[in-house]
Amino acid sequence: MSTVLKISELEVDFQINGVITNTPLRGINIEIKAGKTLGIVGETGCGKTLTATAIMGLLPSSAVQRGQIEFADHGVINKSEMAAIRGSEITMIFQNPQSAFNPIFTIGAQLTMVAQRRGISDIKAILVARLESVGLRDPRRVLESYPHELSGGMLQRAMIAMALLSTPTLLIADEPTTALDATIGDQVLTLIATLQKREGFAMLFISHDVTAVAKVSDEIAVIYAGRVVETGPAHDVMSSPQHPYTRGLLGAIPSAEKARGTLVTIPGNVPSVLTNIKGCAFAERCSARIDKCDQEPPIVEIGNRSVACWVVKS
Amino acid sequence: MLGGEIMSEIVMQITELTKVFPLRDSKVGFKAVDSISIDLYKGEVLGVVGESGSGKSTLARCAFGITEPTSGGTIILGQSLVGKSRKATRELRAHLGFVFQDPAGSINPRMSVHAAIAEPLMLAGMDSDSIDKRVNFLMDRVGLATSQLSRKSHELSGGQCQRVAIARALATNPKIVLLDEPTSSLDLSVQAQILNLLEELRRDFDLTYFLISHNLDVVSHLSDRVAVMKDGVFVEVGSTRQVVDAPKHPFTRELIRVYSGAAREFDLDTWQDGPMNRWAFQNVSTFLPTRKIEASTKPLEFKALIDDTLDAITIDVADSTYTLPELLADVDTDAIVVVRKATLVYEKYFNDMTEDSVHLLQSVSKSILGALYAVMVERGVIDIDKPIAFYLPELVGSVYEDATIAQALDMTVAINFSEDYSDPQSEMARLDRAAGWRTNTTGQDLGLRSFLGTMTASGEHGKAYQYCSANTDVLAWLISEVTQTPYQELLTRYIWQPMGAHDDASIIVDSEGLSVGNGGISCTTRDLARFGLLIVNHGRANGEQVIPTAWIDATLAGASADVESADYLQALHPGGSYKNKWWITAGASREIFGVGIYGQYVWVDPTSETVIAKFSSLPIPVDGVHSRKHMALFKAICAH
Amino acid sequence: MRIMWNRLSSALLVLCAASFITFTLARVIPSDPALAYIGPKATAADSAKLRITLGLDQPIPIQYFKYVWQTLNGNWGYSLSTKQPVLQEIIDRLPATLELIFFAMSFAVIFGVVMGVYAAKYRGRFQDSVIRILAIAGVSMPAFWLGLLLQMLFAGRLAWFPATGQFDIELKYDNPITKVTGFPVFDSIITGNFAATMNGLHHMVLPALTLSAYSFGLLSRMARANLLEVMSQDYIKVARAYGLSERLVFFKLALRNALPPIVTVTGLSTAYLITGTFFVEQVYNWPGIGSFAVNSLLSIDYPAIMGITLLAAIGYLVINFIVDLIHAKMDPRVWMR
Repeated sequence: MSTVLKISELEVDFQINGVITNTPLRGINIEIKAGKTLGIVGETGCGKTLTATAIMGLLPSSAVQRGQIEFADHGVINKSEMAAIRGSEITMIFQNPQSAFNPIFTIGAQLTMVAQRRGISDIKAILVARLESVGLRDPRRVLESYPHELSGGMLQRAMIAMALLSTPTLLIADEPTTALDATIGDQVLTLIATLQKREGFAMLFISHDVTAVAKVSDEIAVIYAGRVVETGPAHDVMSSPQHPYTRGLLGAIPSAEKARGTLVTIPGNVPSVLTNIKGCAFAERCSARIDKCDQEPPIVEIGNRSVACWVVKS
Repeated sequence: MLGGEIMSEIVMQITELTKVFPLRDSKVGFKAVDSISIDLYKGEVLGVVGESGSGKSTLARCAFGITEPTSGGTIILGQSLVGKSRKATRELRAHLGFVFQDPAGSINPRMSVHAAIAEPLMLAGMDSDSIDKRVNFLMDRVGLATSQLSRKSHELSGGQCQRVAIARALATNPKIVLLDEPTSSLDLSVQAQILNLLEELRRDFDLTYFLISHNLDVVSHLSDRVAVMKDGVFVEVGSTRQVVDAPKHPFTRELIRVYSGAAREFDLDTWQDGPMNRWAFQNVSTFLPTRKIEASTKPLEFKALIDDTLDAITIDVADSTYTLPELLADVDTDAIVVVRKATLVYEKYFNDMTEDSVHLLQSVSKSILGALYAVMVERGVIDIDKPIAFYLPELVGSVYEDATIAQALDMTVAINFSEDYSDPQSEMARLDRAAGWRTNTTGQDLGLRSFLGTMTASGEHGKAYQYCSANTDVLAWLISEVTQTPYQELLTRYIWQPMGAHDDASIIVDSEGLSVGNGGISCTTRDLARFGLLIVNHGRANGEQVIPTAWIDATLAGASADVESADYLQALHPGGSYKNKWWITAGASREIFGVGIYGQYVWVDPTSETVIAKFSSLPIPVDGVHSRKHMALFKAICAH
Repeated sequence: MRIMWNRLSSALLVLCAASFITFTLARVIPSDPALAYIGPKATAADSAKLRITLGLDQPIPIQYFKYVWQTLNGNWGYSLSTKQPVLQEIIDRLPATLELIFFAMSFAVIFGVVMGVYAAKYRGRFQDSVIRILAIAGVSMPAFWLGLLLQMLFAGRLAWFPATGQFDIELKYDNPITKVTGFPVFDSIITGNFAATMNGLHHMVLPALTLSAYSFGLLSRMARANLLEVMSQDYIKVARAYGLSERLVFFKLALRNALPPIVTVTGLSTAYLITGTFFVEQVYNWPGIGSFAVNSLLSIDYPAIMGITLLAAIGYLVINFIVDLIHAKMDPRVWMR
């Protein structure tokens, strides 16, 4: 199976006049196979969205990026090469469908601009067909509507239609269900999974919602303070988490089964991006911490899992 | 009383609480909360879970006296909030605490942590020494260091802010605390800290919580009782274990499924959707009541001469080029049989199908009804220009009082009917419920007959094409009523056996045993092809005239040009139309076909004498892309 | 459409309120209007007689309703200083002022928005700073001071432009303008009198520039701020993520979104220009409403003051109404409320 996206040692600094102000990404290593889904899980500020922004080549000019991004047959690509293929070979759907559409243009006008950019002919027919295929019953009305006239669920479907106007190689879904009600979000997830099966694109699925990520992903990467701390097949990561952070995160999910007041908690807070981190970023909150943890942790391979931790043993 | 515990004291009594918000274009207004009554017992946690717009926050605000309810009210600790003096209200309010979603927003950004917690104490008239002591005590209880006292909200993390908000809520020693989405803006790991803290405080201070959240995980974790709220009412209330383990309402079930991360499961509400439909369409008779349509004793056989070159044809559609096997896989094909000039030239089965297995036809069933009506008319059983209610007087007063049989056959009945398969409120969904194709907890539409009687007219009949499944059900009912013969027997006698069916078919019936004519037939792929062959052979099979040639010719001519067509039909088949329950294309080679949702087809090309019978289990009922792919596929095969 | 009716009816209400306030103000000014009319040497008897003639002896409410009735019938009273009908005075002077405002506003909008866009595009760079300085100068410099400076530099020292007036005096004899609409430059264009057009435009440059300075500064800052605000919106990020060209994103999408507030500011600053003309017309000896207003104010010519105030109020409401219309056209969400 061929690899669609391979990111090695991606690091991002923000600099002002050459002085590094913070380093929100400190080592992202991920790989997505053709037609498969990689889920990135992490809490606020851990660098999930920034990773997506870097892949799309949309980092602001104050950001300095190191490491490699390899994409499909293009090999290693830089920011300007990415600009040429984004929106066609890589497309993206976003967290808040209400703000992702321009409020003063109709959905039809916005989809048409994207369709033109992709060189699609017979735009109207393709748009109608596409909107139908994402489960919008009345595509003509949707095309003539302004964003504020449609519900969040409908807009997210329209966004998916826009992303899939022509089948991309990779779809990046950045918290696509977070702004939606749970049941609507689930419909959207099911739709994305169905379309993926039918059209065969690879997907990078980013969310703080562990349940949603587990549901759609083949592989999961858990990210903490700008670094991937654990990767592996979705089912394995969910059923036997290895990194202390992953364990803590899964233990923190409340449910009727867990006795009240006994949720696993991780003391403290996610370090701010301004914190200067040495060694393992999770060490100060980690109950398994040992002396070595103030040095950069090694990547330990456990079966089909990679874990960045001094404590776990292969 | 609940969960085996004895809860003696009622601390809050909500009685028929209703809140109506005025709407600009409506006299009635929007009922956000619709007559909700519930009691809150001392020491319990009552969790209300619902989605945005369910009215849960409005309920909480009205119950706690933040918003004035339109009617009904709350009795807190034996006293009503309504009609009290300011002072009495304030004293009562001291027994209430509030924690809201946005911790940073609910603390004045200019206030220090100390000032924020002290404020309610000052209002209660406490002296400053006691205030300092109380603030320090509260800080300790919510797990904050006293060194944080001088900070302001923007210097705190989200979790710390929420701890301050909790300390402030508990300052005056309240008995009941409203938790309105208390952890919704927090990260998972911080949420766990706050949930644990809330439980600890509840135990230590003997608090009663009224918890509101959209998050079922949070609600079910923290609550003794759960109320599920939707559209202003509680659709289900019970102990947490009851609700989670044995949910009764479909919405509760759906919510629990979503939060468990499970895929939709096979049940009466999901069986038609992908991927459940793959198995379901081949096994309808195992979970729905069906009646048999019997095979012929001397089946029509065809020569088999498989043409492998068909696998090599390429088809350009939807911006891609497919080979035939690729396109078949793309449209989730379960089976395909191609018969050309009475010879079987192509036959493929997928997804556990074989030549012996049956598959649901969905609306291709309608085309079979069309053929049966041709026979019935020829035999003089009915006059299709008579109104339907002429034969079914029960329907006087409904749309079918004036609509004629012919108009129902051609789908030109002007009827208030939405054929939206995805909208649970649409008439189509009601029809499914009436037919027993979906769970029906509405207490209405019990059986097809009672449902059909409620249909109303939307305009003048015969003017415009309007696809409506109910029209076919009414015709299936009519013909068995007139002939006093069950519909499946009519099909057996006049279509299935004369055309030489090799296998038994079946048709789904409703709770009263009435056949679901709009889509309930299941048959083998080859038998569907045999049915299509009737058209190619001018209505003849095994040397006998099964359906009249004149009817076939009339159907092939298409609908009258006076009938207004529909956009989607013209987009797919320019100049095409719908006649006698069949679709007809326009142009030199006039094709005729039957279609069912989720990809069922019988395609007949009289010019090349080709019949294609094809079953699929597409994930969604209808969409233009799949329709186009199918058309391209059929035309490519016929042109080969 | 209902919204438009609402706007219209509220505009009428504002107009009534404005007329009432100006009327009342004129009556409470601590100076006897009758005295002002017949001059300081009049006897008490003369003045009493005149008070009856002018209706000043009647109760204030009746005077007001009379005033409204007359105003609606086109009788705006007689100017105390020129002894001419106020409405006629206004109609005679209005075209000159409107032309001045038109050119000033065109200049302000075109250069303001272009400079604002340019500054946004080169945010934080040299170009941005230069435009910022120009804008701040435009906003902070009083019109009469700027007017004098420009006169001294361009009319005096460099002698590129005439210092005062609407046309050269000789024009009246060489190429007299045929009156069609009453708007002199416009009339000169439609009658093909291009010599007059050129002469008029030549005279227009300095006053229009002076008048436009404030609006230019405001608009360029507004345009820049709005564009930057819009550029940080999610939908712009989305447009970029979909590979739409930077040109399309900036000029078609972002600019369209930034326009509605710019239109509002344009409307507001046009209204502001009405007071600006008071000074500018004075400095450049421009025969418009502005200089008429200043003269009326100085001579406490209350019918004229009331007329001008009413005119300004009408102007203000018309501008607001137009802004609302344009807004509704540009932003579909306006119809929501």
